[in-house]
Amino acid sequence: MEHGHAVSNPKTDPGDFVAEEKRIEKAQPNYIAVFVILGVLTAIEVGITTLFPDKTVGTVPILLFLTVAKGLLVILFYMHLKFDNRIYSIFFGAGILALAVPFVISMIFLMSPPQLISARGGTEGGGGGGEARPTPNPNAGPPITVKIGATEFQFTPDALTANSGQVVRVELTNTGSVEHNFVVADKPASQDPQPWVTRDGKLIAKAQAGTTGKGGFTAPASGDYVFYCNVPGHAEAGMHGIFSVK
Amino acid sequence: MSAVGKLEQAGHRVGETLEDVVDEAHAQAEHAETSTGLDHRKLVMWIFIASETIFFAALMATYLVYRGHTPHEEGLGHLSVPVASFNTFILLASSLTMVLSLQAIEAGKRGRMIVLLILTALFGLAFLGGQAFEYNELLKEGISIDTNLFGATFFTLTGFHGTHVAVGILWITMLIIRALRGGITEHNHLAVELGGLYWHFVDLVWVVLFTIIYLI
Repeated sequence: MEHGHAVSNPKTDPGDFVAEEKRIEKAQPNYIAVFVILGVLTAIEVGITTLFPDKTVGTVPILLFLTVAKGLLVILFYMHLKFDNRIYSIFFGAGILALAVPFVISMIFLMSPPQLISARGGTEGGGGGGEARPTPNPNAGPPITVKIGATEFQFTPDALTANSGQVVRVELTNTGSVEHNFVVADKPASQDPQPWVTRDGKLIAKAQAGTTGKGGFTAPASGDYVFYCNVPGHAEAGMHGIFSVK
Repeated sequence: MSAVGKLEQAGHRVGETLEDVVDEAHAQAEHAETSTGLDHRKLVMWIFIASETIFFAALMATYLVYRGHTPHEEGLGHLSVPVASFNTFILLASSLTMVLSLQAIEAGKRGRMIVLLILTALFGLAFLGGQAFEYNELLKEGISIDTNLFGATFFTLTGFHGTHVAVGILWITMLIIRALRGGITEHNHLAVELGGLYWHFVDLVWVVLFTIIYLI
């Protein structure tokens, strides 16, 4: 490949792609250092999320700032936009700044939660049949936490209650010697008294022997629902109970 | 020589001629002068990436709009930050090996480039493995694409990203095959650069997804 002329006068040769590659080669970015910085920034992000699980005010802007910093490192160094011709930056920048970002912002504002909630209320109000879905209930009350003990082969307690639409947080403490879990049937007990046979239901929490597993769900429409352990044989041996929704 | 033998010989000649034509076309493209002064293949790649940006922006916007409509216990509460963090490091590492492979071929180290490309593809597979593990855990916990708004937007967004990773792995595999056949050299390595641009873009998308899905 003969590029002698190109290297000697790169700026006046419009068809010279070699000049920009030479620029990148000459710059020799330290890619490993970039990777280390990316790794450290990611570790900081995870650290912030772990230290402030409640997402107290201030963490979101910091996390977004770190994300932008990581993205810029990838774009400028790994994708070479720092060294490449500016036309590439213009095309890519236009895509992000003129189209993508305004699009995301306008979608979030146009479909703001109040409008969406009213739209959903209008379409879901007349729905019925099939699985019992949580229904909006102004009297649902605040979230509750239920502590359930699991051992071979029973739940303690084996009867739970909640209001329809109430958020139920489950803490499943396994005092037995094998794994247990907590599954709530989708269909009411009147329709499916033995959901472990039909494999109906959602796994809410699971716990290995001697540990506590956490999970949660929103209480469905009024009715009695079977909860059970879906480890084969456990429900048949007695690991099931009734979850009553008022 | 039998008729079959003559046919085979003729076939080889045609094949060689075609390869010559393709090589010549590549060589011409390398040297072609364009009105912008840029290689149009690379310019098209950047335009494609810009369009992909808008595609993912639409999916992310949808995810963000519906994010608050599923109780934490029925959606976000089921996600595992450690698994996602592991996947993030894997993908960042794959971007490093990808860019190092380009650096290697620029320095004329074809063997090193091939090894780094293989590593990149393996990192990509590890990422998909992590994603499969995460999906499996969610499905076991009763969260699927049709469970609720969280499931629908989460699986659509990460599913499309995972598909892009899978396409990237195929792309890199083709680069490896081409390199093994001598089709990528110190002076003809634009294909690696273009594949790299795509791969880094997929990494870039994940950097954003990781924050908006798992951290915020």
